[in-house]
Amino acid sequence: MRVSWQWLSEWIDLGDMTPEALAERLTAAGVAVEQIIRRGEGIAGVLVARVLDVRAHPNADRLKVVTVETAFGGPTHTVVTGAPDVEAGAFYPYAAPGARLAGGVRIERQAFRGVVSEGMLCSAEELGMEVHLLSAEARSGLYRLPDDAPLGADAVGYLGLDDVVLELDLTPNRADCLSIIGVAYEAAAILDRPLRRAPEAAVGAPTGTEKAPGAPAVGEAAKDGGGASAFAVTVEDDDLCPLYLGQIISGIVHRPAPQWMQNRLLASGIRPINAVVDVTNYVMLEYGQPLHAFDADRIGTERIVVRRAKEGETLTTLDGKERLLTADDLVITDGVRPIGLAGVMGGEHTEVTPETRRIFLESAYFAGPAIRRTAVRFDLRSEASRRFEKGVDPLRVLSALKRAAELIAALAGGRVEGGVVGRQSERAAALFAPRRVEITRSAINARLGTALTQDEVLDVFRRLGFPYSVAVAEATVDAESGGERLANSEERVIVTVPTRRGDIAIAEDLIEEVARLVGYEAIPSTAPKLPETVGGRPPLVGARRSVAEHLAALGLHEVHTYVLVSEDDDRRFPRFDARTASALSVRQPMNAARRSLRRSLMPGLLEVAAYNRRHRVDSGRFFEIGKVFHPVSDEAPYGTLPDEPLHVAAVFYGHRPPVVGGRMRGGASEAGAYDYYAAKGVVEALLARYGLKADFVPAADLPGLHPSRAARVVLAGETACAPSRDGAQANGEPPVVLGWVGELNPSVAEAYELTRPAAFELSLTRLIAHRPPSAVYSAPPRFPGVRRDISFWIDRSITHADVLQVIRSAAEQLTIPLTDVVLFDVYEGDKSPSGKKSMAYALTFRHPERTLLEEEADAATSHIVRTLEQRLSIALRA
Amino acid sequence: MPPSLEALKAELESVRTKAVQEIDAAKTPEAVEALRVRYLGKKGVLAGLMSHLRALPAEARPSFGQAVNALREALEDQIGARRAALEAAALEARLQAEAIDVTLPGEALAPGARHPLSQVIEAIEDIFIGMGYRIAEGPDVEWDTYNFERLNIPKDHPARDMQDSFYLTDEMLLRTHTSPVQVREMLAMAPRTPLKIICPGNVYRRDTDDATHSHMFTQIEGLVVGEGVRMSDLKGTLEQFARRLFGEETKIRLRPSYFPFTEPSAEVDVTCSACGGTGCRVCKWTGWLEVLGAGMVHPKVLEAGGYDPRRVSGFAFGLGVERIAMIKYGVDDIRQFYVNDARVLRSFVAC
Repeated sequence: MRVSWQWLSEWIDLGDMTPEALAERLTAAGVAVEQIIRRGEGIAGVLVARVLDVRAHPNADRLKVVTVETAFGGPTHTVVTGAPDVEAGAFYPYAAPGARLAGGVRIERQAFRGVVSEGMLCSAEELGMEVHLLSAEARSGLYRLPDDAPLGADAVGYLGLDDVVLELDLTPNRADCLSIIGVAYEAAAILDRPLRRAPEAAVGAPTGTEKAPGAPAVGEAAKDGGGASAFAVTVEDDDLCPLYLGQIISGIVHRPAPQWMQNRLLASGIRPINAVVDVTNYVMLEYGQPLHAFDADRIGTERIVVRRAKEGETLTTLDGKERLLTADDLVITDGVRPIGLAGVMGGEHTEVTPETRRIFLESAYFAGPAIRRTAVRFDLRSEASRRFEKGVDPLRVLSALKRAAELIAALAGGRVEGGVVGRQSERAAALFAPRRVEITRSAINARLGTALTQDEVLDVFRRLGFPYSVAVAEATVDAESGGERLANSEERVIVTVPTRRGDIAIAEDLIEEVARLVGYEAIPSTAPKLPETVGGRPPLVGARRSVAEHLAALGLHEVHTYVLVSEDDDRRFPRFDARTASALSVRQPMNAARRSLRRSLMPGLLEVAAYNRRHRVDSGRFFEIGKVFHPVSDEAPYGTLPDEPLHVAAVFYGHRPPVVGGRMRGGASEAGAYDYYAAKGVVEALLARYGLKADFVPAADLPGLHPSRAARVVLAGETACAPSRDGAQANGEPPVVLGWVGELNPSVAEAYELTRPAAFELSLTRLIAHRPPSAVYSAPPRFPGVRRDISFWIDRSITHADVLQVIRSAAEQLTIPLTDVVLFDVYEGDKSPSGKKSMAYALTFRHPERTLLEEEADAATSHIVRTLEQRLSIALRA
Repeated sequence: MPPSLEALKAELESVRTKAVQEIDAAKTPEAVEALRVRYLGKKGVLAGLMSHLRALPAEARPSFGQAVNALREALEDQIGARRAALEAAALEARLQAEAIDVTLPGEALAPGARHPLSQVIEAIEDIFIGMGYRIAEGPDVEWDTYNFERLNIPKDHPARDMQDSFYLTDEMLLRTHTSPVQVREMLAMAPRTPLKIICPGNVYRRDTDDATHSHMFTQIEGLVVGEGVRMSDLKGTLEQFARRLFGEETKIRLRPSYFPFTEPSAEVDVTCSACGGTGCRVCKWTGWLEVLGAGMVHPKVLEAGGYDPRRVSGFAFGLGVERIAMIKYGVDDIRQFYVNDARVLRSFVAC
């Protein structure tokens, strides 16, 4: 809402204030002033002038030499202008030598091709006017003034360029401040001063008044308008339209609105059109009541029927668009066809045009939610709909209509025909009925933590113009809570809330009024007087933090990525913990790249990797901890809220950090590329951190991953027994898949311009669900272990897990415990027999109660070797 | 003819002179050891001299014996000292030879960074946990009723314009704020009090991403419900919070505002942490930064949460984590938080 200072000053005396001071007070009271705009800042020395004659420039085809005067018959001035449309006899703003224009331009006497110009004639832009609101005609050339403009007057004043505009950033509850009068009431309350005049004074003798609420006598008005020219008004839906009034005005002359009205519309950000339309907008801005003028002669039936639209009915609105209506839309009809979308926009067919001679001026109260639904569906958020959907003051429906009728009669040559017609439903009475809200001083102080006196409280209601009465509560004897009764027996304040403040309905609303008008700075700072509570975080929140710290310590950067991803990206990756196949998506995405709710963290992580790779970050390790979204059922994916498990995932690309001079120390000097084992190492570190054991089960079926370099991470059971290839556990329970680890399928990696990145994704929710409750103490061994190393050739297709399984099962037949099996070398190269690889394991045997004999260890090792020979055909190396 | 005492003493002296010279000249511990064997060994020079002892007259024996033993002790000391000196020199030489360039980089264990948003979230969580708040979380995909209706935002309410939403169905949407967690927690807790929670999480609005808007961002919401909770308690709590997050000198200011779920409502400003309140580019020369929305829980919201608004009251507040992080780290584009440029993230290794 843009509020003209001059306009506001008509309603309240602001003579002693600066706009800045008022803006500060308004903002501090909750009506935030976002900006103070000085309309014609810096413009000076511009006069209203008349062009006496127009001659060609002797030395320039495109220039004209004109003579202007600023007083009838007074001295004349020669001005050179480039404007092609300059007209003798017309009035223009004239910047005399010494004048200042927009942008700090200073006008001096200046020669143009040999002719001295004494100043210049101005365009709207040069005067700093709101050119975007002007017609193309008014915008392009010189800004032509009306022929009744006062010759010689200061154009700054004449065009209202000395006005100041307060731009309000209103919260949705303050619909009352969508009008000059409403802002005046607010300023009056804040500054504790009266309005210059009551709003009803503007319309002579309105039937409804602001101060003494009561239903306006519309019936009476309608009786007045019982003449032949009266339209018959029927309202078929009282819920959506409890009050509908109209006025016929005939004899309309097509002309622009006077300059002062156009100035105010421009200051308010409204486009001037013609006198009739401008008056409706002007009164809307002043009263907050939207009005609409129909060309009455285009309503052939001479009837107005307000009803819900029929399904499939259409209406072409003022903007030339055909709208397909539904029964949810309220329409104004001529009894046959819709002629306006109630409260939102008029129809094109009945638009006021230069040919219009008779109008039906509408002023109504439409139900907010219905107007809002229609406006939202058609994406038509007009000045009118904004006001209706937040609620207009029912008491101003009639006064605004009368005010507008008077102005149209005065400014567009119209004649008010008969009285107001219309219909007021019985429901309207409820709108006019004043709301009474009760409050006590102690309730206010208890909620705010203040110590306000009764006088301070009552003073706020007085300033707001809310009538109130004070009553002492009946001190009825209540044996059970006598003390409470005593406290309640203080004076109750019964506040009558004027209809203009539709936002105030309950005691809390009054508490806020008191708080904001005494000032929030009056509220002290205290500590809550509540019983002690123990703060803390649930296990998953704690785990998220400690996993993140752990991964960061391992050298991975944490990232945050968007939940919404493209459908294609979402489909690409494994969904190991989804019970369903479907994905969820939003109905109206901003773009296709942000449509689906992710079911894997991979799309986001790979986007991060790709971004960094593109920006020459050659290698990277990133992780994210975040939710993924799985529908609970494929039959009705949207039937219930989805599962939202918390995942942790990482991506690795490029090379491991190199060890500088590594070879000097007998290590590798070349850093290897990140691969499956880099990712797996981090997974293993995480699992160890949470006391979990998992099997890495080869998986060729995981989408997006390299079919022979990927594994499912399957929770290992309590028994040391390894699962079979598909991960099924011995006891028949379905395996718990914690996630996966693998290299990306090269074809997918290519889409992200990455060279075979490695990655993992785990369900943190599952990890935490299966973690042991606490660490288990294990005492240091009391007797030494015996280590035996074995090294052998083995078929290259046999996995480490296969070997471990055989070793462990062989160990079960031993009489001494095998406590540790560590793989310490794998070799496959020139020296290995064809199809074979070499593996070397360190076996540690340890007895809990005695020192083992060397012979016992040897025998046990032999048994294991024999078993490996039999089951896996190994050949022991020398 | 047996050697005379004089002759033996003279020989002893010449042995001393020679031995002292040779030990001094020894260059290696091995050479020192060889000299020890030669002079002090069982068949060494001193032992040879000692063998003459029996040939001396009885009265000369003690004096000669003492002289040999004195020489033995002297040589032992000298050998010991020489050996120690040589060993020290050898060690020194070895240490010199093992010199490395200590300025070469260490083995790369470069720690990763926690994301700045995570750091801010956790710092805020810690402050409130210290004040007795419990962390509570809720779903990102919510029912309209929890996101709006139970928060006193009925369908077709103009306040819905404040938050353009991503709907999945007519009734299901990506939550536009963390406030639905309030509703869920109240329903789980009511009528017990006090309820003191902090709810961090992602929220979503149908905004076009630009320097100041993000279709997804992070909010932290706080809620306190109990008997006799006052707006002054809200002010005191937020003052404590602001001081701990932005520094002890920080002041706060409440301005009247509107949220459908609180009444009265307030926007909360803190003194600009960049200029301390004197005015600068960061605070647009006002000295204040708007960081929080807050207010007293609306009675309808308490009711929808299962509480009796005549018996209990409460306050709630919400803040945008990105906004705080932008202020704290001087980030001028909200999208930076979701780009995850490694060169930027690296600067957050130090937290």
